[in-house]
Amino acid sequence: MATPTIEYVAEERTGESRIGWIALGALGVLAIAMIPGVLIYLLVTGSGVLDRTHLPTLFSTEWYPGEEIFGLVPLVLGTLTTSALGLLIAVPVGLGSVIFFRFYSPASITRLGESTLGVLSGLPSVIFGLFGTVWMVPIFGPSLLVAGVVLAMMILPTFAMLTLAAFRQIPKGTMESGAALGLRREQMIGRLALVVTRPRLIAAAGVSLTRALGEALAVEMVCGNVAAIPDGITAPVRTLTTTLVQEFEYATGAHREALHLVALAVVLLAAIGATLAVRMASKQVSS
Amino acid sequence: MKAASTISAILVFLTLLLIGADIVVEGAAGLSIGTLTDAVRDGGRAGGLGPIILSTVIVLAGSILFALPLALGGAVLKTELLRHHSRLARGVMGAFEVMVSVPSVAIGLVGWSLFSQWLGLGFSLLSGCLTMTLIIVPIMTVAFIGGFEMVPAGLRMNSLALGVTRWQTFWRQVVPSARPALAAGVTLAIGRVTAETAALMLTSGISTRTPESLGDPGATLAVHVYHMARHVPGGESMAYTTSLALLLICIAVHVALARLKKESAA
Repeated sequence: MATPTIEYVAEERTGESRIGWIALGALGVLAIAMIPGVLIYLLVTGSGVLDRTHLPTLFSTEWYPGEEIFGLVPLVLGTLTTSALGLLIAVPVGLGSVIFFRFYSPASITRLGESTLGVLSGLPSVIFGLFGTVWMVPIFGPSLLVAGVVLAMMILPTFAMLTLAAFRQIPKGTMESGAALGLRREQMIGRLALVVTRPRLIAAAGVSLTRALGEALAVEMVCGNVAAIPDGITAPVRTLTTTLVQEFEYATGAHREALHLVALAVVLLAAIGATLAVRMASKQVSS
Repeated sequence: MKAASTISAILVFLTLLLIGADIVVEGAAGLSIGTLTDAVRDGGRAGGLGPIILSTVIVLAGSILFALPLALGGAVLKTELLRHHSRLARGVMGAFEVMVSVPSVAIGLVGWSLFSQWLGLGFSLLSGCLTMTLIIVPIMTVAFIGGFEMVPAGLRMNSLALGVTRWQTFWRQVVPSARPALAAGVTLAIGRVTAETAALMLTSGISTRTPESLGDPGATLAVHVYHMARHVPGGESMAYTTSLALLLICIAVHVALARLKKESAA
């Protein structure tokens, strides 16, 4: 027992593991390469339809896979209109509810509200789809409208939770100086809170938009699945994602390749929302 | 502003109340003693959820098992191996954050095309597990990175100053003290896998038979809701009962996350 410390140190020194770090690092590189790999795979497989016979059909307004006409226009339009409608409903309602929870309601209601949003945000989207199928489709028919409302219900909790987090991070001093200046509560909200958090609100909307663009089955249950340019809010529509889940099983040849391109289009559209979100979220609150 | 925001808040509560009441009332009507264990009968119009629950558990366990080492590696790459605040480290973080929002249906299509067709796995739980791994690795990695970075620098320095190696410092100091955040990452992944439909419908399929191996197809709870509501006439009742199970899981996940958040803040 003369030199226990030295023995201890000597023993621990051998505890360094070069191989361990290399293994973990390699797993990390694999983790980061997987999704880019997925995208490259989509592009390579999908590029099969980027030849002279199929390329012009991509810009047509008709989707007839049987005749090898792969017009993406109605599908992209369907995705954009349903998601935009969802966002148009979810953003004002979500923002309003968060303003209520942060500035008007007693703490107990705020906690209840937070739990409600937490549970709602974790619900599988098909549950919203089921709700829309049973309660809204019989009234309005499968349509752009019902798809938009279902998407709104689905993304509202995510948007509201991110917004609430943004409000929480407003520096205390900002609100205190507002109060010291004698601003009324409405002014504190409109001129301070909403201005200071604007980048993060846009980021929250970006995240929500991404979720809406990528949703497949909840939309498929209620949108009607007609690949045409919608001529009104109660018209049936079809989106990029619903096309994938409906046709993947029997798709072969050029049709199969076209579906890879459809998936890539979904990713590209979602990338717009995601980029917006990451850009805005990294913007520092200037106060 | 007060009136408008109050109405919005009421709408939020009303949404959960309506959906919750709808699921609980309709779902409970279809409950029986054997719901959790009985086989699916008559295409889902009768019987229980036994095989569906089994498939869900297998996909959950498999995908998290595959994803854990990958996510750990991703987080270690960012927090231990790359220089802090370097451009590369920030790039890695940004990449994982962006990957979280890649639509799962696109990854599902690749899973179908690559695992089910090219690798010949067909509609199988294994194909579903692999596909879900692709989806949850970024989510878990981002959570793990957050956890490792919250570990006080002093803890690491003390340990290293005592002559403990980096490897052992990582496993005996950093990992244990980041435990709540790591558990939160896994819980998030559980929530994500449970809620996933499109990617799993494309890979592990909609079969309601009891899976006997990873090579068999099997519908998870969420996929079953979709299949019952959309493709089985008279399947709505079972769709609701399945939704009730999902609702309960969601509440459990939410409670667990809230606890872990409190724990990691303490």
